[in-house]
Amino acid sequence: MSRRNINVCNLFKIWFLLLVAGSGHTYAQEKITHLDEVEIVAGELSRFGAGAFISEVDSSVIKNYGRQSLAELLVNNTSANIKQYGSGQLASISFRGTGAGHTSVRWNGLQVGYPFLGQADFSVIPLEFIDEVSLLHGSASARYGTGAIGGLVDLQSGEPLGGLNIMLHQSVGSFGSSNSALQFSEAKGNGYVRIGGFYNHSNNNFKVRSSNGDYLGRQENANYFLSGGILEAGYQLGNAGTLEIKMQQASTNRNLQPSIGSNSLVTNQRDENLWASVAFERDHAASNLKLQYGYLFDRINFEGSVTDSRQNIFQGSYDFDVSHMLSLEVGSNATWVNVLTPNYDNGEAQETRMGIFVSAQLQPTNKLEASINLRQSFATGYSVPFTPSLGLSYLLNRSENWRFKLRGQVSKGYRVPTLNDRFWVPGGNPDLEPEESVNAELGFDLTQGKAFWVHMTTYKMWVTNWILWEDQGVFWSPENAQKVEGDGIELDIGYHQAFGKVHAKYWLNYAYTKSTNMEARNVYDHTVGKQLAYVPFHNANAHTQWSLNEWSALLTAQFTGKRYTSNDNDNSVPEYLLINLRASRSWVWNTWTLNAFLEANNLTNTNYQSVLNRAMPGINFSAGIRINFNKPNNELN
Amino acid sequence: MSLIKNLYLYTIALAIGLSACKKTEETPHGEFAQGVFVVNEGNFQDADGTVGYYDPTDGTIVQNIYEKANGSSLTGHFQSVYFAGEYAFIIDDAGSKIEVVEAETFKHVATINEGLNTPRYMTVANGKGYVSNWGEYDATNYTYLNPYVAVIDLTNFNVIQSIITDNGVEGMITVGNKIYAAASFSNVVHVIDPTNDAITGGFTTPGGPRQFAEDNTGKLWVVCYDYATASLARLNLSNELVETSFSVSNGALAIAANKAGDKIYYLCAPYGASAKVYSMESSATFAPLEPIINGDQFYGLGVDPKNEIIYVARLNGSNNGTVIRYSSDGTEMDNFPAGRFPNGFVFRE
Repeated sequence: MSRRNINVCNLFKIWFLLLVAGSGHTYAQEKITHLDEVEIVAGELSRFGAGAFISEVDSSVIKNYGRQSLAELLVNNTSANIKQYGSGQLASISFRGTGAGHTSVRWNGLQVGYPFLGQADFSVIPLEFIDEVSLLHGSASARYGTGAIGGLVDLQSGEPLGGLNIMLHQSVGSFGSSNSALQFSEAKGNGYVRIGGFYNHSNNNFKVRSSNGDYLGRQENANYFLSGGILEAGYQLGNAGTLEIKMQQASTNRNLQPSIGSNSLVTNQRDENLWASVAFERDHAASNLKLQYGYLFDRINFEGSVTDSRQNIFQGSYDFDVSHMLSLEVGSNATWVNVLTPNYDNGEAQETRMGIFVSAQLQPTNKLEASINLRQSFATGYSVPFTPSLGLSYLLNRSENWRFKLRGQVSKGYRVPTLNDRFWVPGGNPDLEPEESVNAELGFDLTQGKAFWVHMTTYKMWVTNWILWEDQGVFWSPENAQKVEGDGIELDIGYHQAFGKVHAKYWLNYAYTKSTNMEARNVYDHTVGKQLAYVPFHNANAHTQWSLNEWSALLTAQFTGKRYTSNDNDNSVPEYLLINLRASRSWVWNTWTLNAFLEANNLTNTNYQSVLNRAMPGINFSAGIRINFNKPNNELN
Repeated sequence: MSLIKNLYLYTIALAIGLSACKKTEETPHGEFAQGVFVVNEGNFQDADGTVGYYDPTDGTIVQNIYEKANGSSLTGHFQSVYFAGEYAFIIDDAGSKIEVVEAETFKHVATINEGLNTPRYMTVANGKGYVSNWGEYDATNYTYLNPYVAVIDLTNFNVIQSIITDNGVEGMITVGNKIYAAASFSNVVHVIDPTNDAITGGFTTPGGPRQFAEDNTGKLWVVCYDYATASLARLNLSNELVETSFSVSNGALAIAANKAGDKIYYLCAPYGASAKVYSMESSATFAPLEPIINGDQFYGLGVDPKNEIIYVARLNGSNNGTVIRYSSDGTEMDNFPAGRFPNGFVFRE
């Protein structure tokens, strides 16, 4: 990329216009051949992560849907469980039987989510700009700090393809929904620029049915708009290193879906998220230096009551190969959080979190790998536990095609109480202790090239000082109320077959999750030994995909087991099975590719609920096109 | 966000316990004609309020009688249940609706969802229903705007009029031919004349009047709590003056009288301290020194008119609650399970 080819000012204007016009969606340029479902171990997370289970959502699955939130992507493609307060509404994750605040979410290396809530809303994080979605299963605070108790979701936007790329996406669907996205990128020589915007809208007025199937009219007051844009640029500074700037902005305007039977209630929430990162990386043969600055602005405007948070993040790491058997890394990060809210006594609260860590990766033989991570964190007002982790993997068998690898890890996690936990008026409890976890797991990976794989993990998890908000009669207040033990199995199986021109692929994710409170608080507490609320024992998804030349079809089944609505297990929401079908065709002319698709979701018109008494849509459809233009560099003058 | 909404609304809306002790002269017929009704407001996010039933004669417990009677569950956050004649009115404050059911069978009759805005409590006078409404939630100022009492035509269940009140209109009671409505975010008890549906007078009480209990002399005790102070006041209805008032332990939420009306019970559940139930003579001029019951997470109070057994609704965090029964001197008798967030009782003889 040379400067004469890209007028950055003009691109800024385009970006701004896109936002103002409320249009655009960003997709990385993508080759639309066959959807090549390959399990790739995510590079970033696997560093110093021997023994841990890391799964990655296939990039073709991220890109190929007409409309899909991060919540839907995860529930359909991973073993994590998502709890959603209605269609397009607040979505939180439960990973390995833990709670909504127990999974850390990272965007291009920065921990994101609302710091005052200590959790992210998986329905407002746009997927349009994301190229890689990876999951690190189990406690990971030893490298990633607070919040990584159940696991970590890592979102990365990658470098665009070489040359000039234009992508346009437009789809329409049931319930007055539409999705538009537009992206330009250019990568050449020493750098790249990527710019894009998106606009999603839905009236969300699907048909509501009662728990026994009676038609109750259409959903009202659940409509939403999401829009946003990105601006990303990277530049190679000669031998000094690379500099990357990434900015992502998203605005969400939602009416919060009322409970079944309270259709007329209008509750509006607007979210604003502006995330920016400046990263410098110097990658030499035997060493790697990374420095990153992040600025995160997040706002929730709930019915006019505005809470703002601003975070400044500095982080850096240096790793080097001591020998061909040993790599070391040292690193540090610091986050300054400032929250302005009418909900705290002085209208604001600050928090500083810091951490230093040392990691080692050993490979004494070409079959054995070990990683050790040690981290000490500091947070305003808390003594944070020391968090180590130890992981091992051993390649048991390696024939021409087959690999069989055993792995295991023991790791610690923690979460410092959120600012709301501490300062909310009334009820905030400044005396809370950090939550702590220990996670131990064993698993194996059996793979035959790209044609067949089985990843299986069994784990056990202990979480102490689990924070619960409870009604204290006059108001609610949080306490370190629970001691939770969990265990479970995660299974990921895939098979790829080609006969003639037809490519067939089958893959499956399954999780068995048991997560239980172990400590009675008083004689009336009947929760001991029972499953935590909204943690299903079983959840699974299965996929079948056929491709023939430019045609492709994907059938997905997603199962969520029965979930109890309270920790005493007296009441529950029933299990459900959803089936989605997608068909697409692509046409290629020179540098242009057109992809047209048709989706039918919830084919069996199942009446289901993710959260009790929040209706979810029955059968629905979506159709769209995506146009990609790619002009490789050698054709540019 | 869920937490946010939860907290916003809970802070103001859900912290108020209820003791409802309603009497009717009906001849019982249906399955639920006699007994104790437990109002379980439910978890705000889940809208899973229920009405439970307890038969003290044989210990029968039915957790969700609406579901048993109708085959499907109601949804909502139920602040209170009011029985009037052949109907019971289940008041959903979060959903701004009232579910009308047959009093003795709990079979569904109608849903009132027009003309209500955060409805709380109900009374009946002059053949009409009167429902206190906090009004529209204002998240910016954490309050509710435009409070009123909705007047309901009991023949067609339409809201036919709104009577503008002071803020946070809460407990409602009919004595003689007047209605008394406690404006809990103010210090006013309104007097409403049901013949012309107009406010005809009022009392200035200590801050935060919430609930009433009628005593044996035809006077009203009102429990007041405004998050800073808690008081009891005795209202002389004939001259519309506050006759007595005194401070009580913080967190006073609920009040109930025995059938004779010579004894008044009230519940204080302050944050961070144990909950207490006190009893006193209806002629008291100062607060009793010692409680008769100590506990925690108490959220509702009722007194069985038949035998003066005290019913206390106890929360178990966000799980299903417990009802603990005490004899009138505060001796614990037994307990039985309730639904989520039990907040009060209705006794039907």
